[in-house]
Amino acid sequence: MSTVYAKVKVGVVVSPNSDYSDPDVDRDLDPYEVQSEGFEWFRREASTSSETFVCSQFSTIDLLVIKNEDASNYVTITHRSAGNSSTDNKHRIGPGKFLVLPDVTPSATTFTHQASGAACILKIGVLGET
Amino acid sequence: MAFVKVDVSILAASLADYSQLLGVFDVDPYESGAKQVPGSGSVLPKEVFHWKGNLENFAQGYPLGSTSMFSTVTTMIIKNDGPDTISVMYQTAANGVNFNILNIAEGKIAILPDVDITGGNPPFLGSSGGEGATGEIFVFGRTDT
Repeated sequence: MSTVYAKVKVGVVVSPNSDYSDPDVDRDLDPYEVQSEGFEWFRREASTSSETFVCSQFSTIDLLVIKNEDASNYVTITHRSAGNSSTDNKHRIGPGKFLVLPDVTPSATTFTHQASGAACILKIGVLGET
Repeated sequence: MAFVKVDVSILAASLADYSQLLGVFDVDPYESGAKQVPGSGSVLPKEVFHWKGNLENFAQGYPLGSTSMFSTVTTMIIKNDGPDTISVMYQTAANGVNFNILNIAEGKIAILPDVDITGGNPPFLGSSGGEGATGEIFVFGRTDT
């Protein structure tokens, strides 16, 4: 199995101006670097019904990124984690927002998404071991 | 008024120096746009809070505890620089009175867009080992409702 070298970068800018000039905060966090076996990304539609997102091709997940591309509806993500064991974690991802999860159990039966008012497009990136 | 932009990208390569790229997963930045904060004066600190240091000290009631400067948290970013793994326990609008719990290992990043403090339970961070963990936290919130 070949190795994937991955670097995850997060930047934060806070400014009193709409063009982000003269920022009060302009910060790039130290990147998260990891050697994984797999990297996949998906573009996927989430309907208003609860649907399972299958990522069981991964035995462990190093990091999961989900972006809600919709302009007006939120999406609810349900997943399990090592921290919460057999109890579900649930997050709402508002319009245009994203969720970055460092602790996801890659079980096909416990990872679901559901859009609120209308179907939403999700952009999903997964780093993990296969 | 405060304008916030958060950008996330994943660079994947087959070589350790990233010279042979397999792909770039670049999430379009999240931009908060303008938010009107009640009153005037030191507007920005009530909208954005940046913490750098011992992550567990963050959980001692400030700024998200009983004397919270926020009424609503819109997004929370946690970066763990180690050495210990930390766990963050928090409530969300999606999960109601139940708690989410995530482990954040050394080096990892969490971006949580749904942190609910209206039930009076601020996020709690605790480390798994005896050495503790340092890192950075950003909190974006509002002082109105």
